[in-house]
Amino acid sequence: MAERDRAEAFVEEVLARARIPSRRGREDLRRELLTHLEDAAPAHGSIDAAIAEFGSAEEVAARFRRAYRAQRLLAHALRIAAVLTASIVVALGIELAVSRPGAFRNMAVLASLIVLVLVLWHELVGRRLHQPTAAARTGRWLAAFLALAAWEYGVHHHAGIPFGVLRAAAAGGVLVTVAASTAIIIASADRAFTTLLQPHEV
Amino acid sequence: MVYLAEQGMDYDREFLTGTVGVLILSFLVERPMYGYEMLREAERRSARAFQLKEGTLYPALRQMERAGLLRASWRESDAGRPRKYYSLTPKGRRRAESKRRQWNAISVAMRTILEGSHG
Repeated sequence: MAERDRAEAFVEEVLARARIPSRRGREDLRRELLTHLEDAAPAHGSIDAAIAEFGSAEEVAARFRRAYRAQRLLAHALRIAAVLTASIVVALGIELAVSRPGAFRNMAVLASLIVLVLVLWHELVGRRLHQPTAAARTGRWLAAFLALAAWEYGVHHHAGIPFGVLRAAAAGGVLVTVAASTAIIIASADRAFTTLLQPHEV
Repeated sequence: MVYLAEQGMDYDREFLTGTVGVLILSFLVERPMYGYEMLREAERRSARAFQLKEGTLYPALRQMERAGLLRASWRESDAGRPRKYYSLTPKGRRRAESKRRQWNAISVAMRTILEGSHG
């Protein structure tokens, strides 16, 4: 590997670990660190010596992570706010399209709660879990559908409101659609955010 | 981190923490500089006793830029190569003056105490 390539590899490693939440910021830092290593090489005898003098990639990246911590937290907060807003708008749109007159308010509250729980679950637990298999995903959605349909049937039955199994299934289906739209929005936002933080995508 | 390379002296790291920002501010009070220039300047002015570490300097520059103390722009250096020059913002200039006063007061007080303890 040529000296210039080794310098680039070192800088890439720092950037990959630094998690700088802006492409422009990463590009700027890449350029600055490479210029520095080229400047420092004659004084240290070689680029390798200049790299060694710079410090370990992990230690340097940790300092950059601290420098960009506030910006990274802000980007996370904006992502969560965007996901919540988009998911609730879509959920309310679905409920508005299918709810009977008079039933929209209750269904809108329930749909918003589903969105909130899904987003919170994803942030607190889901992001740390491995991707489930296709069969496991199908099973989860089926279970969610049955649980929501049963919930709808039970709540109406408890309140003494006549509510057949088919209507309960339809209401469950609508709520699962809300959950699915939220899951799609969460996944899209995650992909966009990963691209934003991933230096190799630049 | 800043390292002091005086022979026979073992300096406490904790003692030197926080000096990077002060050094950067004091260099940039005079004129805009790029990162490597600041490192060389620190060594030159202290006759190589003071060594600003690269791996500390650039994150500190970023942090200070984000805090609104510095502004940076790419332009050609005297050698003809483009480099990222840092300069002080008005906020940075005020901070530099405040730090200079603090350090002067501290160093005078410390010298008085230390000389008193020997006297």
